[in-house]
Amino acid sequence: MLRTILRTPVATFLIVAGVVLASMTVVTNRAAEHAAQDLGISARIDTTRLLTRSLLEPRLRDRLVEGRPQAIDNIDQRALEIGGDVVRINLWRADGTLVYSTDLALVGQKFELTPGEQRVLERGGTGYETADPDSPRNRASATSVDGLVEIYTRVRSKENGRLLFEAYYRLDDITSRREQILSVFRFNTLAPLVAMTLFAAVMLQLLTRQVRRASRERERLLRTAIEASDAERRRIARDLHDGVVQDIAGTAFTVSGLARDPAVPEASRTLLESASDSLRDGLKSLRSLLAEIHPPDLRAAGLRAALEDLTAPAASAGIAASVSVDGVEDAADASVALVWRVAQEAVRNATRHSGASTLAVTVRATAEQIVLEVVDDGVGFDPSGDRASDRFGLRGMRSLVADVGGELEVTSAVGEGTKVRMVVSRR
Amino acid sequence: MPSRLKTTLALGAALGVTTFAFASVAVAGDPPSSGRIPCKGDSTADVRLRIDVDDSGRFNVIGVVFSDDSDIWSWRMLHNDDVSYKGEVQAKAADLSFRIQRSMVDLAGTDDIVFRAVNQTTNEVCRAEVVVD
Repeated sequence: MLRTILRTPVATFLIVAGVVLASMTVVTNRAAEHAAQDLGISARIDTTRLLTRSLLEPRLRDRLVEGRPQAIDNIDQRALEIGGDVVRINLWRADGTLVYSTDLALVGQKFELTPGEQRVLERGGTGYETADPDSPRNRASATSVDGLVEIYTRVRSKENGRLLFEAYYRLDDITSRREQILSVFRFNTLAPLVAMTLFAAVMLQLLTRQVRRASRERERLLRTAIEASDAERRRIARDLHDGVVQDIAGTAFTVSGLARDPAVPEASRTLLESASDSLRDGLKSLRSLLAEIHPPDLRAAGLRAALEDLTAPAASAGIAASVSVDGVEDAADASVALVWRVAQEAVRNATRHSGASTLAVTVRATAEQIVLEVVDDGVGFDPSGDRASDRFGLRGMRSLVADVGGELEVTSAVGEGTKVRMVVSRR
Repeated sequence: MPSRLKTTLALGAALGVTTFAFASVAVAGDPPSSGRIPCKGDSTADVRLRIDVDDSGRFNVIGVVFSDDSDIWSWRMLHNDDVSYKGEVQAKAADLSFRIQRSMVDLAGTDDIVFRAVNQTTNEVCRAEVVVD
């Protein structure tokens, strides 16, 4: 039931659309996360610049660069006024000395500046990086830096001394800002896509129904046409059998009788004998044609005769054909019909293409299966050739056999004849 | 007693008092304080400097002058010889004292903190010093 539902076009479309939407969600989320994080960081960079411009630079003297107590006390007073998102601030000298930190225990200590900090100190601008809890400066600090981001910028004293101002912000504040942006972004991106997908699914369902309806109608028409054709062929075959065939059979019988009549002159008897043979050959050909036009009403009991009618044209082509049927008495009519159809195709191929001198059609049955073998000693063919199976018209038969759970095997080699073997259920 | 000896003793006593008044006070215990010290000059005023140490690494520095007038005083707070804070104040409290409170950073090593106030009218000089290790 589930498998049937999953095979429907709408289910396939929804699965594919779901995968595409999920992929898009992942990709857009990544892009949006980056954008939102950049936006969050950007806001903090602005805050950092504002702090340096308004709070620090106007009163920054070289005394602080030199680490004088007065300057440290003063900057500490101003630092106490900073609140908001700023967790900690540092002021670095170019040699890595921390001239001031809100973590006062670090004031005066020396640490290695990161490459980004050195670059900003030398060239100016602003940089940021995630605080590393394992760096010596953060290990020495009493403040936990987990989840903090450091944003730094260069500041100059009145006397042109250079310091690096560094502010620490909580990353979760940035993350929450990012989530705010993302939630809007997600809705605006995905909601129309989901709506469009559902709309498309509904449309697809309607179209699928229409196509199925049209398909059923076409199938019905085709079946009707086949049935009409079958009825017509059956009528023609019946008319031929009941009319012309009976007339020729009667005429052949009469002519054959006259050919054996001593009262008829010898020369005429010879002519009559020849005419009788021609009539019988014609009769055989006509019966084969009838079998071609419309398969006989096959039942197990009539299989041998039907197969003999099939092989009659082979005899006419100079092929010694033999038919052997054994053990199919109570086989199902459908199985018998399939045996006849495959045999018809195989015999037709052998007659037309094989150039064989002998053709053997053998049907034998076990308790469960019927086995058909059509074997000729003709030129054979290369089964690995591109069109080997198509050339002999057995591909259709193969699918027919496979549909009822049977097997069809064609064995051949160049110069070594061909063997067609089919196994189907007896029931 | 010869006058020369008297003079010497008087100078010695004056020097001793002055030395006491301006002495650096090495403080152990909590909170470090200079105690109440008489101001220099023709004065009945006293000065006291107290340092409260908090957990954040800052000193809460409190300088108090117990004055007997409502003159204007100029004051300074020095941190390791650097003037960290300065200003002027007029004693307006009921007891004519004034109190200056500021924050200083506890630097590595010894912190030498001085509170100095000068009466702009009488030139009284009040000075207290606390050294925190």
